[in-house]
Amino acid sequence: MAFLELTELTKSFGRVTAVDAVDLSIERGEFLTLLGPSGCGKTTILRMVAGFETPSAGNILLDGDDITTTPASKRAMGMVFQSYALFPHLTAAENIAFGMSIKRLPKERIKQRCAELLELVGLGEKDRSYPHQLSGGQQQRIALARALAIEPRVLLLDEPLSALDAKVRVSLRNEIRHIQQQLKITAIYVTHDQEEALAISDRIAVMSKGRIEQLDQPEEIYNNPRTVFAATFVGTSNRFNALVVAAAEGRCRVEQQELHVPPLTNIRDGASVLVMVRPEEVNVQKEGALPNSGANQIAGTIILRTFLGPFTRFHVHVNDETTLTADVPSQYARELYVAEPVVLSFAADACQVLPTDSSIKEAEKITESEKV
Amino acid sequence: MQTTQAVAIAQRQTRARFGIDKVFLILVLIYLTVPLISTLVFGFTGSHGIDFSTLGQIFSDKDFAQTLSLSLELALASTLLSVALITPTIYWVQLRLPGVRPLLDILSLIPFAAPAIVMAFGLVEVYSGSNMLINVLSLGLVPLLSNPPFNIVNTPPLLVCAYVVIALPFVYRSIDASLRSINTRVLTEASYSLGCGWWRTFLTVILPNIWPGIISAALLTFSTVMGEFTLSSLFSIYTFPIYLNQTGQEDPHKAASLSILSFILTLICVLAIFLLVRRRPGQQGEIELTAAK
Amino acid sequence: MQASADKVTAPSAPAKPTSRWSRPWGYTLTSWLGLVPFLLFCLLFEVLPVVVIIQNSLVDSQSGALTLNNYQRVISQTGNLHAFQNSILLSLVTALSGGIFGFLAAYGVYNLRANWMRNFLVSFSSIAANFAGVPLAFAFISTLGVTGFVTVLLHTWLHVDLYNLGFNLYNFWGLALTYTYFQIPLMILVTLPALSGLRPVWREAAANLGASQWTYWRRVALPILFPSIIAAMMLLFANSFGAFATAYALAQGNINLVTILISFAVNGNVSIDPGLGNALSGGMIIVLLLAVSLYSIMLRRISTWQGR
Repeated sequence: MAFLELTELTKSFGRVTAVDAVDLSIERGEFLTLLGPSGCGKTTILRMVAGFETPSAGNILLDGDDITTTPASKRAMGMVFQSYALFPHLTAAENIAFGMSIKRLPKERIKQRCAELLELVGLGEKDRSYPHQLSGGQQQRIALARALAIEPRVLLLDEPLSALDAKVRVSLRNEIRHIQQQLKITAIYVTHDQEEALAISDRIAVMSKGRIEQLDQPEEIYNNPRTVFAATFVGTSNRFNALVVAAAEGRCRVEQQELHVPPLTNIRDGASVLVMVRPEEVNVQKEGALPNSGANQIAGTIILRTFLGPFTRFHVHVNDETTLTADVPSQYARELYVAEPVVLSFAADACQVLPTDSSIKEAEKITESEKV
Repeated sequence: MQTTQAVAIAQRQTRARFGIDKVFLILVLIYLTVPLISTLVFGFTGSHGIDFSTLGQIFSDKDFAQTLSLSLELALASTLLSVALITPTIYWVQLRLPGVRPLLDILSLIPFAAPAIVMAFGLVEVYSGSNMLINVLSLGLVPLLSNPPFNIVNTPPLLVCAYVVIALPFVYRSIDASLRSINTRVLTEASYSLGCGWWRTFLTVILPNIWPGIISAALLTFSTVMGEFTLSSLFSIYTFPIYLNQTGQEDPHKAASLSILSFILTLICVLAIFLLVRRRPGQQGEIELTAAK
Repeated sequence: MQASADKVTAPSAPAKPTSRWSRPWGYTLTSWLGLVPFLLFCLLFEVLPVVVIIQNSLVDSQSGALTLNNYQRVISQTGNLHAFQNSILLSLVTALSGGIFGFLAAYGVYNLRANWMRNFLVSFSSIAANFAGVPLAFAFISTLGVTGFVTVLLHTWLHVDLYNLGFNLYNFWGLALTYTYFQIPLMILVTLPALSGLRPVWREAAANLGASQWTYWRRVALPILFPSIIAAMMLLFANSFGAFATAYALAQGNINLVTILISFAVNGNVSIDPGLGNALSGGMIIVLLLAVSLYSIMLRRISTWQGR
């Protein structure tokens, strides 16, 4: 039996179903991330676990106890909010001490634990500062300490880093992960930033429209997405609508070109599929260079070259409807320039194939909504 | 089964919360409406049932029309003057002299420290007496204004200026809040970069965006002046509230009807704020509807 | 960055050395010029009246010599002192009554789910807050005067004779009751924005840390709202302290208030001479300055906490 179990958890607001019969089991000490775009229900699930929203249906079990109807103030879960939510009239230390003073712990113990937690988050000297005197990152660290002070059974984090600068985000997410592992505390993390999710989670639940699309370890989700949404939301990829020619041999046709993919099971010949290739799996070579061993070769012209530091991203025009993206380590990208005719190649194994009917349209819809 | 329990508990919780705070609200509402209803009844019931004769008497009174029109003129003049004087000033200060804001804040708080009665007294003393210190401090303007040809002591123009001062705190607060809610500096710089000068920017870019603040400031000034008694009484200028008081002291029934009329007038002003302010789509109707009497 | 560094190392710019100064000077000068109309207006109609009051209060009205005599008379003459006591007490009482009931009512309005109801109540509050002065006095006379609607109602239906029981609209407490009519809505209007500043996420954070509703109010919401409440009450105090019309229309000089005394001075009433009138006004200004200062201090505290 898992530590935290959500069974058929549902939440509707009027006619809108925000969370649709979600089942989720979280192990003790696990760092689970709910990942998805805004409106997918991830925050609603978190708030139901915290007790701020009442489920329309379903149960929440913590360590065997049904806490679905327990009021929020009795659940012993520590929550870190996106907007920090530090009490402005209390100092950092008083904020941290708040939960403990409600439990009527002895003053000495409170003081000692405050000091410990301030050290843990690296803000030992800021105990007497007020929230408005602290930076965003510092405030969030105090908020984390405050949530940990009550020795919660589960730590809940609601997009804690979205209000922070990029650099602070990266360092703070590592700190959060480090502290979580150190304290071996079960954590549920909500975010829309897939890079964040991939970096720090034990498992990720990719969510869309109130349902979990895929629940897996980060590498699995990245390398073997099982739904179109999971594939397009996590990481970038090149996408082809293809028709299966020979499923067992792994051959598909995209317009006039034949694509070699891994042997397909559970897919008939003639079915429509979505074939995806990650940009980092695509090799770029000048036309006329020695042929690469990759099974798939596509000719095109570079139309955009973006230097991204460790690697360089090329947008290659194949035909009027297709532009492919390829990421090349920058040291190999030096001789490739815009308007250069090139050959793209990638292995059959690099392709991810998902059966679906109107695959491209759905994928495009997702990227369009992300643009906004 | 478990969740219907949860829903029931949540409903009970909200209903319990409903009780405590709404009780006071209802009590307060009763307290606020009872006098209005009583006045309505008192004013419009005669010896045999509903009797609007007091209204008839009021409307046929020559003084009613005269004082009402005078008050309307004064209110209009004060409103226009206050908005025209204060709005460009606040905008100017935000743009060119942000360091002067504390001074403006203080100036806008002085009417709190010196309410109408004190202001009336002071104005009478300034513009009727001859005071060396004042003459010097005012750079010679006070003697200029006190004596012919201006002779403004106890005249409507002085009253208008006094009204503008009385209304200053809310007009300032309202327009200042509006200007701070839109990104004034950025909008101005964008406008300048596209070739607009100061005035054009002010009229075509800033004003339309702070419209709610201006409307509420204007209507607040208007309703304040329409109901202002202290200054006009002490300046001996026969305005509508003075007429109200005189008539009312004689006949309590007439007093009641006049009271209701006055209330309706204020009602119109406030409703006008709400309607005119809400008309703009996508605007945050952040209105401060307070007045001090 | 580069450009400014160059400027520093190469002071021998081709432009005239004075041009670097004259533009800022000219700019500041026109900036101040733009402020002149407003400053002049304030000087003539706002500042000078206050100045003249302070000056005349410190000067003997006959001889013109500097003296504290006027203020002495304010403190020593029981009538004047009594007026101050009455005014301050009245303002404190109505600030408290308006403050407490207004706050609770504001909380009720704040919690309303229906937007239209909230808008309606806000409009109603602004009308009621504006409905002060003479019409209000008449309204209360119509309600609770000797032949007022409610008085008569209570007499005929419940056989309760208010005035026999000691109630009197025309004394201190009747005036306090009347003042409360515009103090409560004013409090509602000023408190609503403050309540909106109370972020719901704080309530959730407090609940998450184990606080009950009551604990949340006691340890989070009320302390955070405290500066707003004090500022609002100072506003109510100043509002009541400076009110004249309502008292005048209701009590016609039966009640000893500072504002009424000052009006005697303006009218040339024999019992009050200008010197005393100025001192009374000066006293008013001092009391109100204290209230306004407290108000400003509280406002500043609010803005630091809100981080704005």
